[in-house]
Amino acid sequence: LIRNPIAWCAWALATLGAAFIDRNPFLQALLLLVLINVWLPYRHGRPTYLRVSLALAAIPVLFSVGLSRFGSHAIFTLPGWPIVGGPLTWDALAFGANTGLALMLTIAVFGIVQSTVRSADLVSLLPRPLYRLGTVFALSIAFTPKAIASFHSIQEARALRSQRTGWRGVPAVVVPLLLSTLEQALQYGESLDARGYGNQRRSRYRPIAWSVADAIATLFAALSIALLIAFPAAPYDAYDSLVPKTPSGISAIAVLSLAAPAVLAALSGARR
Amino acid sequence: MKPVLAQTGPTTSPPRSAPIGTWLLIGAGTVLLVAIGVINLGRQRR
Repeated sequence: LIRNPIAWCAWALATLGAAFIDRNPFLQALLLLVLINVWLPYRHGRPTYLRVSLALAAIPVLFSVGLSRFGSHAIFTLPGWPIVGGPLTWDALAFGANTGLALMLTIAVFGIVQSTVRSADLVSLLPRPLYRLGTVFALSIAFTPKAIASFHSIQEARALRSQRTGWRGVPAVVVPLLLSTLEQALQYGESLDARGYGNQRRSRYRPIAWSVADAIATLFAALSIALLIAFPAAPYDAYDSLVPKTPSGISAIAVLSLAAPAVLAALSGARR
Repeated sequence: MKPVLAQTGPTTSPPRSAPIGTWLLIGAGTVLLVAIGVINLGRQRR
């Protein structure tokens, strides 16, 4: 399995490039299949980001269908109501779905990287001048799930005392939530101080190692980026032509190269 | 004056057929990805 954070960063960079540049629906579907395949062997924990990505993917579809009146393939026509009245078109639906899918793919890439790479490893990759800033940034991001967990525990405690737990009870939760977050921040500060943060040179408990699988995945990611830049895929505009054109073979190879982590996971398991 | 047939421009080439090679590549890639997905999923279930 791939463990090196640099290999994962290269893969994420190539996949994000494909998600942003390849707007052809056939390539997007292929990329979605690639992401599902990469997610399967490396998943752990609850995939909250999948729900977030699905919700975000629906927003462009709703906006595009609800507000856009362009296109020549009408689904049906609403009476002349203000803002929403007029023909709802397949073109707007396809345009919204295309944009929504690109958003979903982007969030899925970040979700996969989040579940495979530890934030400490990512911070350790930063150059020395940015290390302190990176640590502070990673700590501040780590505070969000802690604050959510504190909010839920306070709500549970309030429910046990038969106090309001809905949205009306939120003002009463703010003060204990603020206090618990401040307490956690002080604990973080003390633990950083105890570990000599900022006083001496950085040391690594686990040095980052390169395996053959890491190198192969990085090479395939580099190949994908090179193909994407050298042979950009033909753009897709649903308003111009509803039916997408056949993508080029090179674009398909660039997308399929991104499945290297999944293929390596399958092969490494077969060797065991 | 030239006859009408001689005034017509060069004959247009027939429309290119669908790139079968690309579709074969995408199809083969999809089958491969589904197979890998089934292998990885089966291994995790075990």
